[in-house]
Amino acid sequence: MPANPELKQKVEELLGDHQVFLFMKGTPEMPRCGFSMRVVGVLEQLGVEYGAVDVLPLLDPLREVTGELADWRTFPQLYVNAELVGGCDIVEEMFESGELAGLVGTEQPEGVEAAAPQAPANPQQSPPMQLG
Amino acid sequence: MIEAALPGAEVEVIDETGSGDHLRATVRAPQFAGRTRIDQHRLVRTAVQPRMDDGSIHALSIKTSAASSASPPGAAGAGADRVDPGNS
Repeated sequence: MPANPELKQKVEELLGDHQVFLFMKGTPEMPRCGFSMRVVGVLEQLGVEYGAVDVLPLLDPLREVTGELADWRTFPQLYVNAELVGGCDIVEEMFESGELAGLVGTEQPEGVEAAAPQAPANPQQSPPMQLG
Repeated sequence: MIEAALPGAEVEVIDETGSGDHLRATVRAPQFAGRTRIDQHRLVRTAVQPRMDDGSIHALSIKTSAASSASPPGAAGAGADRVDPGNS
């Protein structure tokens, strides 16, 4: 099924407006999926500003959109500069290796090797957005 | 299947649960050099897609790295991502 053109355009606008953008299940304050929670934990540890959207209300339409845009249909998905970086495991590996900090232009926090998932302590993201 | 799609790849597949449908694939391939992790995963996933579609593989955890001879230190990508209902 082709993606809804209006939704696809909204997604492209969001990706254009945010250097770092996360499609997740739930919100950064209340993740509804362990994988999404772990990516939020990484972003909080990096201290990077990011936008996030809850995919659950529009799960299947958004799968079609990200399938067309990035050939990827599972969530979470982290985008940097409108390019898909990966899901939870790729994000965690790139965080631990320091690659993710380089990609988003922040300093690698000290002592994050084997970073454990943790609850966000200092949310910096903009308020949750509604797509539909 | 993966080796056919990526000639020269070293592939190790571990059956994580003994049931044969939850697999962990570790793939080293010269084709991965210079590609992002997500691209490496796309290559592997595309190779096994028919088995995902027919349900004979239920979950596949992928870990990729470029063949060491084909990339300088630090350029070898390594990543793992899970394709299963828990991360859908």
